Amino acid sequence: MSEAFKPNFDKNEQEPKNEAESNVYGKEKFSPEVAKERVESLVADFKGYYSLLGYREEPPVQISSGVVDPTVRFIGSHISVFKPYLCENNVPAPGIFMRQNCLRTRNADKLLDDDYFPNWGSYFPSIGVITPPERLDEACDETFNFFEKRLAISPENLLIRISSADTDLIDACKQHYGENNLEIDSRKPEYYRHNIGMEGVRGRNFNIALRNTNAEGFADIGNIILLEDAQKQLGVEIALGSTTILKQLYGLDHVQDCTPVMGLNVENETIRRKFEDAIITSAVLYREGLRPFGQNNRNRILKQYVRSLSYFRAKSGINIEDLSQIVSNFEKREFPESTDRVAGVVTEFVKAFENELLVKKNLTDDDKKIKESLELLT
Amino acid sequence: MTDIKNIIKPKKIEKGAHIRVIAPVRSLKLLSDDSKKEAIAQLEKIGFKLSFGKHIDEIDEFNSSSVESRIEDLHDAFADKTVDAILTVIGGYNSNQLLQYIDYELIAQNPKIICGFSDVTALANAITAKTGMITYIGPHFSSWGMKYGFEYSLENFAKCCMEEIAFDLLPSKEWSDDPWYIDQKKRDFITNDRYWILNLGHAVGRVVGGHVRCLNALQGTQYWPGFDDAILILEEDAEINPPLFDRQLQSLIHQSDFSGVKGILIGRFQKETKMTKELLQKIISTKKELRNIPIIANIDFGHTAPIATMPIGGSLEISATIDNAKIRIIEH
Repeated sequence: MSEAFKPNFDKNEQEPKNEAESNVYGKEKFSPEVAKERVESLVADFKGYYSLLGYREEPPVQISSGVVDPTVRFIGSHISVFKPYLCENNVPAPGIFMRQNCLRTRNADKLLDDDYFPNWGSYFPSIGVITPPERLDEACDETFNFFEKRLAISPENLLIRISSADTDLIDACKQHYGENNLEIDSRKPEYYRHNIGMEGVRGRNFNIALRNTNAEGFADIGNIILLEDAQKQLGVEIALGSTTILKQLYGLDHVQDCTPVMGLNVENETIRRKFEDAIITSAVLYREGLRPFGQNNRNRILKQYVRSLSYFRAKSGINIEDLSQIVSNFEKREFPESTDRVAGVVTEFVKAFENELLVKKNLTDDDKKIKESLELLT
Repeated sequence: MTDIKNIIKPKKIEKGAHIRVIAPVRSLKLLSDDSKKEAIAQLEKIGFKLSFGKHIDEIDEFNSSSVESRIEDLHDAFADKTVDAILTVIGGYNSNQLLQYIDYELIAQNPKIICGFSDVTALANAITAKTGMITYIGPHFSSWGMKYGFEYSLENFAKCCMEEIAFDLLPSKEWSDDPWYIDQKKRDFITNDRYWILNLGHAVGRVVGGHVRCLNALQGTQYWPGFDDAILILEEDAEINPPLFDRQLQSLIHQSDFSGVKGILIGRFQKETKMTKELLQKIISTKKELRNIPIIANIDFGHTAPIATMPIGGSLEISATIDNAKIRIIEH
C-alpha cells in the first residue's frame, strides 16, 4: 500500500497531556463546533502559501474510486494522484500541491477487539506537494517557512528526525535549521525509507515533528521524501497531516477531534474512538457511493465498519434512531456544502444486518460477538 | 468476481420536474391517441412537464426505429440539463441493440432517473452495470395511460422516484390482467392473494434483474450486472409458460457467480402463462442452488397491473418467515 506520510506512533512517543489552557503555541484546545473551520483554515493557509510560490493546484479524487491508483484499495495519500507525474518523470516546476481526503483502514480488523485503542482515525484530510528533485533545497526551505511564517511555529518547537545516511537531506535541512533541530538516527532504519507502490521506486525521507503542547517530547506531523529509482531522482514529495498538525498545535486529545462526532456520550474512550471512526468512515465511503456488497476488498472493508456500528451502539446503549441522528449531524457539519445525505441509508443497512444476525445459521466469531452485544442491549 | 461500481443515485424528481419521453424499444406511434392523451394528462396532473424525443414517432416494420435514432434520443435526454427524468414509451424486443452504442460516461456525468420495464430490463441493467447509476424498473409512459387501477403504481413510483426514505413494499389490494389499453372501462380486478412465500430466510442485497429473458440476453456480455450479493427480481410476460420459465431460471443458476444471489423476488405471472403457486413451488424445489435463499413470489411487478417501481442497483431487504413476508426497499 502506498503511504506518504506515515505517522509515527510508537509506545515510547510521549503524548501531550493538555492540562494548560494556553499551550506552547499560544493556542487553546478548540471546541467540536469549530473543528471544521480550523481544518479548513489550515488547508486554506497551505493552499494560499504554495499558490503564491507559483505551485499549481491538483484537484482531489474520490477515496474509493480505484481509478487513479489501482495499487491501493483506498486513497491513503496524495502520492496516488502524483504518481502519473513521477511515472512520466515529468514533475513540473516549481511544483503541484493538493488537498486530498484519505482513508487508511488499519483499524478495520481490530474494531471488535476491546483491547485495541486506535491512535489514529481512518479518515483524514491530507495536504501535500510534489516538486522536481533538483528543487530539494528550495522545497525544504519553503516547507520550513510555511511552518514558521504561516503557522507561527518557532524553530525550538520543530524537530527533524533524519538518518545520518541521508547526507543530501541533512544538508538541505541545515540550510534552514541548526543542529539542535536535528534528531539523527533515533529510529529504526525503515523509518527513514518509503515504498510508494511503484516498481523500482524508493523514497528516502526525514520526518517533521512538532513539540507536544505540554512542552515534553515531539510527535510527527509530516515528512519530506526524495523519490528515486536506480537511475535517477524522480521528485520530492512533501506530505503533511492536517489533523496531526492541528492536534499538536491545539493540544487535542485525538486526531479525530478534528472531525468530531458529536452526541456520542460514551465513557469508555476505546469504544468511543472506534465508534467515531466507524461512523466517520461509513459516512465518508457511503457518500462516495460505496456499499457493503460484493467480494471486492473495498466493499468488504466498508462492511466491517458498518457491522461494527451495531457492536458499538450496543456497547454504548444507543438506539438506531439516535445513531441515525448522530450520523446525520456529523454529515451536516463535515460536509455542509452537500445536500446529499447518507445517514438514513447507513442506519437502514445497520438494521438490516442486525435482522440478518437474528436468523443467520452459521455465525462467525465476529457475528457472535455482535449478536451477544445486541442481546444484552435489549 | 463482479466489480461492483460505486453507486450513483439520480436526483429525485418533484412536482414541476421535466420528464423526457423516449422510445428506446418500440415507437410512440404504437399507442392509441386516447392512451397517449391519458398518459400525458396523468403526468401533467401531478405537475410534471413533458417533452418527447426527436425520433419518438419513427416506426419501422418491427414497430421500432433505427439504432441511431434511438441512441440519439437517449443521449439527448441525458445530455439536456433541463431534463430531470426519462420515461420509456413501451417495451418490445430490441433495447439490447443499443448497448454497445451508448455513451455510458455521458450518463454517469448526467445521472437522472430512467424508468420503464419489460424489454427495458436490458437497458436498465446495462446502464447500472456500466455506470453504477440506479435505474428503475417501473411504469412506462404508456402505463400512465391507465385510467383505473393505477393508484398503487403511482404511489410506489412516488416512493421510489420522488422520495428519499426507505419503505416497505406492500402488496396491492387487487390486480388485473386485462387489455386495458383497448377498453379502459372493461376491467376485471382480482383480489390479491398476497405474497407467495416459497422459501424462508433473510437477505440483504443489491437489486438486479427484471424481465427474465431480457436479463438472460445479457449473459456473457460486458453488460451483465453480476450476482455478487444480489437480490434477483424476476418477471415474465404472457409469452412464457412454466417449463420455459424453468429453463430461464436454470440458465441463471448456471451463471458462475450465481452463489452470490442472496434472495429472489418473483413478479406476478399473467393468467395466460398458466403458472400457479404449486407449479412455481415445484420448479423452485427441484433446484438445490435455491434451497437456502429466501424466495417470495406473486409480487406486484411485471406484466399484470398495478406495478411497483424497483431500483436496479439499489438495495433491499427480504425477510420471509412461515407466516410473514417483508420486503423493504432500503436504497432507491
